[in-house]
Amino acid sequence: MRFMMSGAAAALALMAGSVHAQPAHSQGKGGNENAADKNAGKGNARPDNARSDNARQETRGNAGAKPDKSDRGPSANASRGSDARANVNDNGRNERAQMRVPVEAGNRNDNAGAGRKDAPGQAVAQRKGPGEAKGRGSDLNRDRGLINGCPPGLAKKHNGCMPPGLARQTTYRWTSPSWFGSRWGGDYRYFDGYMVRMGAGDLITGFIPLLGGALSVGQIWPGSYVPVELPTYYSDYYGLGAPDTWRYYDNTFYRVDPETSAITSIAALLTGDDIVIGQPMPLGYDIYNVPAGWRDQYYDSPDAYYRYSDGYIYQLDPTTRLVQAAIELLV
Amino acid sequence: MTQLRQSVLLLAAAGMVALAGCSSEKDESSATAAQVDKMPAAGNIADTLKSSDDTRTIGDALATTGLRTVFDDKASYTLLAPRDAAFTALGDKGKALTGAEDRTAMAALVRDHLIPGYLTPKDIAAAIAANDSGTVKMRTLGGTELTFTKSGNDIEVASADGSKAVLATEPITKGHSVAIPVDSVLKAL
Repeated sequence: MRFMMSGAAAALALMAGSVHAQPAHSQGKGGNENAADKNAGKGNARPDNARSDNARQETRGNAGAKPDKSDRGPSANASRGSDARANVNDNGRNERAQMRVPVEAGNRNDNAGAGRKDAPGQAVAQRKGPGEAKGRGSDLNRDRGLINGCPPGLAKKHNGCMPPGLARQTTYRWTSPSWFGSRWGGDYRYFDGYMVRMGAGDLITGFIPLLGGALSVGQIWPGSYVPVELPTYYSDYYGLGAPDTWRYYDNTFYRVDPETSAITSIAALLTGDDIVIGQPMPLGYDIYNVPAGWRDQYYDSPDAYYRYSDGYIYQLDPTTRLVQAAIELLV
Repeated sequence: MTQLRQSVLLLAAAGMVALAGCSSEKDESSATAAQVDKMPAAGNIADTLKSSDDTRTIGDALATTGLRTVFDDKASYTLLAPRDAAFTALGDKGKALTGAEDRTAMAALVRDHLIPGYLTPKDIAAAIAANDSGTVKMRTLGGTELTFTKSGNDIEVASADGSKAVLATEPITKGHSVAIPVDSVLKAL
């Protein structure tokens, strides 16, 4: 388990070591950021009776929030196990794994892939770690990205990538783009596991592979991909394994066969919410949702609220709803 | 393993008793009692749903969309699980959706019924009671907003498209996740 610092200390750490998951550009920045991360203050502490005072003071002193349960009997120890640790660091980003996101298959930008010969292309999606801007409001909402061109195989089946009748396809509500979210403009259509963008003359000009369709178990990962950096914590928490055995897209982790690029399973779904220490918790976390195994330690009280999202428990100020700390959950 | 789990539960119970006896922590201990649940049994909740006579359709959907495996590891999710009758009530459209070879639409539907973390009806009721407006909101993994309210003794949930459902009072817990059966699908067909 790992605490993120709260308050001013955390803000400084954030500034010192922000992660940029923008795939192409992140390659060049990685070295500097890693160095910053390593300097960004981390410590270890036990969350139970034996945890170090340093970690507790940093996380609780500023926040003044988490009830001290050191006198609450053995329940916390028992449920956590003797190896449970709490680490205070900048943002959990001192260690990194790589995420892979689609690139525009037909219109690659080699400059964007600088730093990785095996990953040319223009980044079209991004993922950022806790404490950074990411989330649901941008053009890359929920980390989806448009891939230019025609979905794999479709151009051959339909001459010029013009499936007949696609422009007026509305058989069921679930064949409408709105079924898959509210962000799609009028030029988008659903087609055969993809969201496709229509151009002049009913020509498909771009596509987005969708979970359960083009991105389903057994499918070959469509297009080329650029790894995106993210905290190793995600890899650890979601049990992803070696970097070449998983990929990330549309807030979803997929396991893939590194030899064939076939999707072997869906590992995890993420919210992609923009949760930043020192900023208000995003809307939509009104209810206590801490996982069962952590409820004996992180429970709402007049001093602090706790909410879970994407593998972290966030400590909130009950009055202001400001995020005071992010807690990693590795045992 | 079973012995260890029982020991953990006993120790946790002992800790709570100790808390309850401490008058200075009265408020805290009551909050804890409401929020601390026993650890669910190990396993995959999708399998539990699929083997149930009441939630087989959504269990099948989790399997056929490939989303079953997100419940394998330590990540925590709450699924508002439409009962089989909820899909049946959708008629031919429901049949077309659940029977479609293309599972993309069903995956989107499941995602709109999934909430991050571990929510129980008890947690939801407590949050509603604590909120002056009588409503509380959570975002789904699909990015949609769900609004919870009380109606008599029932907890109702409404999605942004106006679909409504009533939650079961008893959740199904397994692994790190929860399923709360609901009597309607929270996505308009």
